[in-house]
Amino acid sequence: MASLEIKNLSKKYDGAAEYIIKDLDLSVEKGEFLALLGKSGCGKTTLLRLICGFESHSEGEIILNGKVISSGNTWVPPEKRNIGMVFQDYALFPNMTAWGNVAFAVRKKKKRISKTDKMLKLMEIYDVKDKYPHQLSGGQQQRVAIARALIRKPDILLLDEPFSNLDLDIRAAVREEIRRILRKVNSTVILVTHDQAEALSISQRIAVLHEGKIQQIASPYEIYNRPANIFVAEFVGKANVFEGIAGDADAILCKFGIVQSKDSIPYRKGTPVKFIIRPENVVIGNEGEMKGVIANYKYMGTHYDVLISVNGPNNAEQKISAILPGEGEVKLNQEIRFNLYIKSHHHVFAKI
Amino acid sequence: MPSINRMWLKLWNGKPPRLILLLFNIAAALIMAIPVLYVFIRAVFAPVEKWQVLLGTRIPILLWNTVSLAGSVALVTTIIGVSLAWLVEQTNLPGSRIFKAVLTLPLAIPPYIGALTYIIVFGKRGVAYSLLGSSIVNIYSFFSVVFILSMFTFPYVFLIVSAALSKISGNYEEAGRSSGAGYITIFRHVILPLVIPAILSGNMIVFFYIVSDFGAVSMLRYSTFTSSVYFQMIGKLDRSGAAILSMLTIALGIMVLFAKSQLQKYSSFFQNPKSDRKSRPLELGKYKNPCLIFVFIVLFFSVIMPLAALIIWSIKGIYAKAVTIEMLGYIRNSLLISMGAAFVTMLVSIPVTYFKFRHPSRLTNLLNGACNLGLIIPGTLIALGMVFAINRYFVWLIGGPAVLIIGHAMRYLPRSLQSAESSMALISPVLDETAYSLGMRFGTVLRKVILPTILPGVFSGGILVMVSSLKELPITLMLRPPGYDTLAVRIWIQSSDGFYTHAAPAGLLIVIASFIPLFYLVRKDLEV
Repeated sequence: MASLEIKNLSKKYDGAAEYIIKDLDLSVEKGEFLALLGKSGCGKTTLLRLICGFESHSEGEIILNGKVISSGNTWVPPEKRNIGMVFQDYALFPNMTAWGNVAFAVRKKKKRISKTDKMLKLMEIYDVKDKYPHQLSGGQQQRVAIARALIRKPDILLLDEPFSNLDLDIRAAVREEIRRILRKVNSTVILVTHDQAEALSISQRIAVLHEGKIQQIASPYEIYNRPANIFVAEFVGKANVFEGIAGDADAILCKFGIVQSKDSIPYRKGTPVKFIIRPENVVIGNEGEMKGVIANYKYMGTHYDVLISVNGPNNAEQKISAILPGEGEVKLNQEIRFNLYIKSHHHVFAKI
Repeated sequence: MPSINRMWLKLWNGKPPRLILLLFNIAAALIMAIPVLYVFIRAVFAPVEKWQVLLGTRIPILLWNTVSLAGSVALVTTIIGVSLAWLVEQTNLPGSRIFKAVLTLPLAIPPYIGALTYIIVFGKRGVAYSLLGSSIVNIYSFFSVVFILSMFTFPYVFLIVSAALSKISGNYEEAGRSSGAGYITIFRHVILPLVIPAILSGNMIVFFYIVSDFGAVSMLRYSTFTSSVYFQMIGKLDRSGAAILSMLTIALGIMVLFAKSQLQKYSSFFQNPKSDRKSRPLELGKYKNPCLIFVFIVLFFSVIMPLAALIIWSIKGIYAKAVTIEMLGYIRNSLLISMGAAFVTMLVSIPVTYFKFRHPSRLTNLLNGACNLGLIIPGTLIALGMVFAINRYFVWLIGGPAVLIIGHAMRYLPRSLQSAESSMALISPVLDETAYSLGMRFGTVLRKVILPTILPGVFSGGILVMVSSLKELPITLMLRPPGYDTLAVRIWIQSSDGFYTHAAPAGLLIVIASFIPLFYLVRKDLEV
């Protein structure tokens, strides 16, 4: 059963020329962990605020657990929606301790103490319960914010870029921890992020939002390997993008030669296309048919990120990102041989 | 000797000031401290019987009068100021941007001129009496005095609290709502606690304003410590009695400051305002009209009615030939003293500010504290101290306007310092050091780096001092040479004699002059 359903939602700010969200449909299953992925300004925070009820939408409806909470003629105020929200800056009340912040969300006085203590223990912040927000570390502040949002057993938990305020070196670990705890309480979660690696690693499904529309909604594996369009393909991972013309026998003709695909390409011969080859799919080896020189490289320890410069038949230069194993020395202008092939027809798109 | 040298360097963190700068600052601090020290000495060495008589008779009553008046005005201005700030900042009250500017206008009306307008309207033979046959209220009653003083001091609370409210991130309200709390709960538990420090500061300003006010309180025939100092001095020529009362005024001020700092320990919070998005204004709905009426009532009694009375009575005054050639003389005297005071404070503020920022040390704090004494010391007290000091050592000063200029400069030096400091804070010491590393001499650095940056601040500080000094009453009354009248003095004399048509034109002139700095203050708000 769907926990949250959004139908045909549109939003235009007063005085703005364009819609920030246009005819958006989204359905989130109960217990699901969904990542809402998009660049800044794509409308993802607006969508979150519409779900919470901090903004009113222009058209469409929002349904939570079968109950309409926002539509043309219904509007449930935010405090009545039972939606938990974790803000990007956590928005912890500075005049209350960690305990006070969490207890604030318990409206019934009777169970306030026992419920709050239990939640703080679950989030593993019971030992800092008497500290004020400015005395807590970033990670602790975040846990308090999540505890405050979870304590009402919300129908859905919304996280707005929750990890972006944390230092890079602890971000991955914190992410893991939060994921573990949220799994334990089995709540429905929407996480908003602009970080594709974060979305891929944490969620069960990803919705990619661009220009007010959902471009694709699918599992991380699907999104990465079978992107619905060139925007998704480029956004969810590093990609070399090439233009060409569909040719015979699963081959595409481009300016530096013919590139083969591993399966058949569903485009008629002569169709202008764009296709991507991810760096890890560039096959490097001495038997490679193509030749280039290393124009730039970054040593990453486990591997090298290299940029190969290729001269095509008509002296057309092309730069290709690839990965080299970390063993062995790499030099600038070193000659390198490799093969290019398209991994699947999901990486080929009609050129618009 | 080397160890003294080392201690000297340690005191200044390795950056000792030039001798002349240090001497200048010590001199400035001493001059500022002399009146207070003198009052203190005179009070301590006053005859024991004097203490006994005053303690047994006047002091308990005066203490109660002062505290109850200042406390009540602080309370009333808090209620008015906070509710107005809330309406303007957090609700969808129509025209809130205009109200934000207009509600600061009462600051341009000095309370004693405000009191004059209330006497004109509600006094014994005032407008209300001649129209309705009754004065409606007794303006000399405690509640009237509280009301009138509140009408001209609430903008202090309003300004500080609305600035604090506008800094509260909208995320807090939204976080509260998504925790299932309604607006009232959020206001009580989150928004109000966050502005408590601002409310306390506003309270404090009003409290000190009332404690040190002389003109309005005396015109409304109420007696506080400050006004009693004046009457003890001028009326009874009892200097040691005045000194005792003054000392108690200072003690009261210090106690209140201490209480405030204790309260603030428990109420200061650190916001993490990464998001400065404001919350959506609260819909007033059916309360919109009652709220608008409330704002209009406050505006009527604090701006519209006083200004109207002043203007009408000024016109009456012109017809009654109250505006004579002598008025030009009063204006000249007023300008001479206020410009003189502005000039002196501007000159003093530059080395004092430079010293504070470039040579911080414990000694610096002490000297700078002395220069800021005018903040908490009422004008009557500065005047009293100066009377002691001048009669003893500077008899040659008596009889000219110079003594008034010095008195005004002492009272308003803190205002010009604050203004200069806000500019000086913009110049990082690194900038000086860069200039030195490029081979510039001290004089060149001062001329090319420091002065160009702080001069605008020094000038606006000078304007502030000038306008404040135009309105100044107690020091002028106590120190002026006989027959030396200024606009403020004329208002005082003529309204105590009941010649309101004669007092109004001078009052109107002062109010108009006071609009100038307020205009700059408010313009910034309107541009946002």
